[in-house]
Amino acid sequence: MKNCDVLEKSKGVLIFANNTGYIDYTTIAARAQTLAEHYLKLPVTIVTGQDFANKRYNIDSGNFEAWHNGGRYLAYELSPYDQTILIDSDYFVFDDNLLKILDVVSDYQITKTNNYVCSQHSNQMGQYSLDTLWATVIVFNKTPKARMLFDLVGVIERNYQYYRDLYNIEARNFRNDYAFTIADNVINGYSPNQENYLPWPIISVPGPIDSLELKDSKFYLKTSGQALVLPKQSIHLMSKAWLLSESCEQLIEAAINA
Amino acid sequence: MTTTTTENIINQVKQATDFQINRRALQERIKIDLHLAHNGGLFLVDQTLLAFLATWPTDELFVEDVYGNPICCDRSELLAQARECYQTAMNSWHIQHEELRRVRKI
Repeated sequence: MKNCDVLEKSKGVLIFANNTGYIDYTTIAARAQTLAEHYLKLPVTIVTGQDFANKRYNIDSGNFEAWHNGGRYLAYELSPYDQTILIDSDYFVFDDNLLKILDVVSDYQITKTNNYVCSQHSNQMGQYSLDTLWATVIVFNKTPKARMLFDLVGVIERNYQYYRDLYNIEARNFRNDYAFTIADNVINGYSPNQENYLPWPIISVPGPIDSLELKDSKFYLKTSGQALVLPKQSIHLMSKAWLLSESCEQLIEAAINA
Repeated sequence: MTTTTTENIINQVKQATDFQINRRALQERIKIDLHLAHNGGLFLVDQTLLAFLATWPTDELFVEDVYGNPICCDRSELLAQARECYQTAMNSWHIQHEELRRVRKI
C-alpha cells in the first residue's frame, strides 16, 4: 500500500534562454523543451530575461557577439521543482537516462566529461588551472549544499575578474562552466567529490553542422571535415545557426514521431 | 596523378564515415544504458556484478555502487533488474553494431 504521508518530490527541467540581437535563444529553448518533455516525460520551465552583458565567439559567423549567459545561479531560486534537471538550451535530450540521476542525486551532479565528436579540446580552464566541469547539464535537489553551490556561483559571477586571476583562467569572458567548476571546488574543500559528477560523459558537436538527420534510430552527422553515424542519444549541439534551421525542426519532428 | 585528383581523393576520404569513431561512440552510449538505479544507488551492470549477484548465498547484502557507496540491496530483485538491463543494452549494442558495419561509408 502506498504511504500517503510521504509526499512525492516534484521533478522538472529548467532551461535558461536569453535572446541576443543575433541569436533567438528562446526558439532554441522551445525546441529543447519539446524533446525534454517527450523523452523525460517531465514538465519544463524556460527562464528568460537575464541581460548580463558578455561576449562569445560565434562558431557559425566567426565573429564575437553579444551573449547573455549570466544569472544561472538563480536556477536554485527560480526552479519550481524539488528535483531539477538544469540544461543549456542547446542540449537536446534524446533519451531518458537523466531520470536515473534523479533517483540517486543527493545534492547536485554536474557534467565532468564532455566528449567532442569531431575534435579534441583542452579540458582545463587554463594551463595551471582546474579541469573544467560543464554547466551544460546539472541535476540538483533543493538542499543546503546545492543552495551553497548556486550562491557561490553568484558570488563568482559578480567578482569574475578576481576569480579569473585566482584560478589562472585563460578565457577573458565569463563562462558558467568555470563558475560552477570553482564553486564545486570550494564547497568540497578544494578536492573533487565523485558523487557530484555525472557518471557518464555528454556528447558535443562543437563546430558548424552541414547536416544532421535521424534515420533508423541513428544520427547521420556531416560537418565540413567529417561524416559520422552516431547512436541516438542526448547531444550538445553548439551550432546556433543549425539549431535555428528548418533541418533542426525536421529532426525534432522525426524524433517525436519515431 | 594530378594535384586536383589527390585533393579529390582526400576530400572523399574525409567525407567517408570513420567506423572506429562511430564504434567508440556506440560503445560509450551503451555503457550509459548499462547504468541501473536501485535503492538510491547507481550500478554499472557488467559480468562481474551479474556473476556476484547470481552466486551470493543470502538475499540481503550491501553492494558498492559507482559512487563508492555501500547500498543495501535485495539480491534477487537487483539481479532480475540487472539481467533485464544487461540483456536490453547488449541486444541493442549488437544490432546497432551490425548496422554500423553496413554503413561504413556514407
